[in-house]
Amino acid sequence: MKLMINKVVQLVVVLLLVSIGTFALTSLMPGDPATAILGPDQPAEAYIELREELGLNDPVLARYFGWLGHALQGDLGNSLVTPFRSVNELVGGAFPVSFQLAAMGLIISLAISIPLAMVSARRPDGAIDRAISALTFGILAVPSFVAGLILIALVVNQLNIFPRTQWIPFTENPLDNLYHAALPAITIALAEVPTFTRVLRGDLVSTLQEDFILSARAKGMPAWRIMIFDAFRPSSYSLITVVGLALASLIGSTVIVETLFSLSGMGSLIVNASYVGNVTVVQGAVLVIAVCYVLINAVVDLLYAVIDPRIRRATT
Amino acid sequence: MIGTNTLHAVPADIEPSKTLLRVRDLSASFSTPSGEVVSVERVSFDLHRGKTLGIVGESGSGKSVLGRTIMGLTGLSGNATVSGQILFDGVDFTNPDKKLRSEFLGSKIAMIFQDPLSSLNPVKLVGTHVTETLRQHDRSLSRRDAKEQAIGLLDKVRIPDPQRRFGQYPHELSGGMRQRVGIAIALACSPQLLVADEPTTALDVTVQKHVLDLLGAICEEQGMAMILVSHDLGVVAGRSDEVMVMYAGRIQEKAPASEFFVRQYHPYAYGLLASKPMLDSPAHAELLSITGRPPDPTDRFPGCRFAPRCQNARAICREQEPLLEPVSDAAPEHKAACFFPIDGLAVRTTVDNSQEGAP
Repeated sequence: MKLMINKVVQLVVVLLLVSIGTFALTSLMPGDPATAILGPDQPAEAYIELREELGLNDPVLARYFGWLGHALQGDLGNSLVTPFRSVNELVGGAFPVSFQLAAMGLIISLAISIPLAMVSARRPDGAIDRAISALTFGILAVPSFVAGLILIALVVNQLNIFPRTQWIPFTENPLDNLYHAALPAITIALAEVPTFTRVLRGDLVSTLQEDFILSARAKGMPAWRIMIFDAFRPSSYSLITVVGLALASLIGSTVIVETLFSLSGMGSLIVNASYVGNVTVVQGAVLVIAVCYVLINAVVDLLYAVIDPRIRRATT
Repeated sequence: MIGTNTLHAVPADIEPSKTLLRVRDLSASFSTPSGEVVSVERVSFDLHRGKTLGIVGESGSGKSVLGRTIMGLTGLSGNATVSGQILFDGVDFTNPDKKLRSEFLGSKIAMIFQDPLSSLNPVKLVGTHVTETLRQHDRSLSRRDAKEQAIGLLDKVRIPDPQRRFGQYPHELSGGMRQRVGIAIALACSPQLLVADEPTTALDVTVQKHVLDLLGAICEEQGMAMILVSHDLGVVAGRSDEVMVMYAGRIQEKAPASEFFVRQYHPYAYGLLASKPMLDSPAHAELLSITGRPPDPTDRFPGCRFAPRCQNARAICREQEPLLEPVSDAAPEHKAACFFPIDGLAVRTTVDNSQEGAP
């Protein structure tokens, strides 16, 4: 319980810092919201008037607390350019797409990486290990836009298995949604496979040297059982850290994949808003991503305690 | 009914052989970047049912590798070569295949490890360690029955409050308790042979005695044979039927325990015993120490492995390898691998007398 309270206090502090960072970042962004709204060819008075109206002339602190107050109530403001929708609505539309892509990508990636790592770790530096190592480094060397294009060329254009574009919300038709999200998710997954495989393989190899593995062997446990039930869990700490970071970062950084598959996720939302100086949208979207980062890392921290009973005792 | 195992069932009218484990010319070597390391070299011995064999030697003598090789675990590392023969209850257990290993290990042959903390999985409950062994070898055992049996086993190794301990993690137990858990795991399927690899080295001296007494009592009660590996002659003394002294991978001396602790023929065995403080020796008596270090395991020089450190070594010791043979006709079971065996009893008496005569 004490662990939980500590974590919550930490979270609040970190989130406050994040909001300051987000706000400061967008204030430093080049470009003028007034110009963004009115376009370049208006009389000077119009800009001054609009700035006053938007509150841009208020002191920084007043603007920050005003924004934060609204944000805390769940109102991220309105988009400054067309379509003049609320930021909530824009982020609300883009976030599920990004989150689902990231989550699906990670699940697919783990489904590939974990078996690969286990097979590799069975005989370190054996033929299979080397082959997998070469394969993962090969994948690592292929940027995701190339991988995506290859997938599109092969799977969509040649085999016609998966649709290339279109996003169907999960709430509308879950099966169709998964079907449409599969290809972009696989593209994302491929990029993460090398890291996950390498990290887990390394930890598995060192765990397999432990005495408790030998003692499991001395009990007559078959090798695959030892790998899954004895070695995997104590070897998963680094993997969980990396997966948590990847999930958080993927939510905002799948622009390339979104562009390739014409999806409108958080990445394209931020990039497009930045081009036109749509400050409120950038602020709102970055804040949401930052909050995700913090929350996901908090969950990862708690997961350590779930996986390792020794941590549980040390912190509670 | 002899049991569920039909692989080597013995007809009921034939008495099973007294010999449980027969080891012949067993060698284990590892190829390492610095060369071939021969950890165990042409070791032969027999172990009878219900008897305890003590294997003594200093670090690097190959005693632990010998224990693991008997368990069929050495061959698992890709760089190891095992040759010779291990017959367990008539079944060839040299380089056992997967099937044989999973059938025998844990159920017929079990092992206790040196460090009870590192040999228990930190993320598994104490109880799970025991139940998984039970269920591995008896697939029909229900979870509930396994738990019941496991608690019974924990109780048997005298762990107080076994119900509560069952649900704890290894790090929540003291060293002595952990090693008791290790024993409970090993005993789970009532094995015929227990390989105890330095079972008390990581424990406090007072706890050592309790654990060793417990092991001895259980062996006797269940008629289980044990290989007790230790660097400490004191651990082996009084708890073994036979003692084997290993040095640099070879057996240097082998004798019934009652014989061995009276008289040693090999200078190394004598040195080991003489370097141990005895309660009945005079106060401030100087302990003998064996000068020098064990040889580099990659250095395959000819002759006796102990010759470089032996005060009695002569030319032949550096040229020929002495065989493990009986030294005197009076004790054919007492064997030493030495060209110039000493009489440990006589040497000790002279030393003691001279010390007593000194002012």
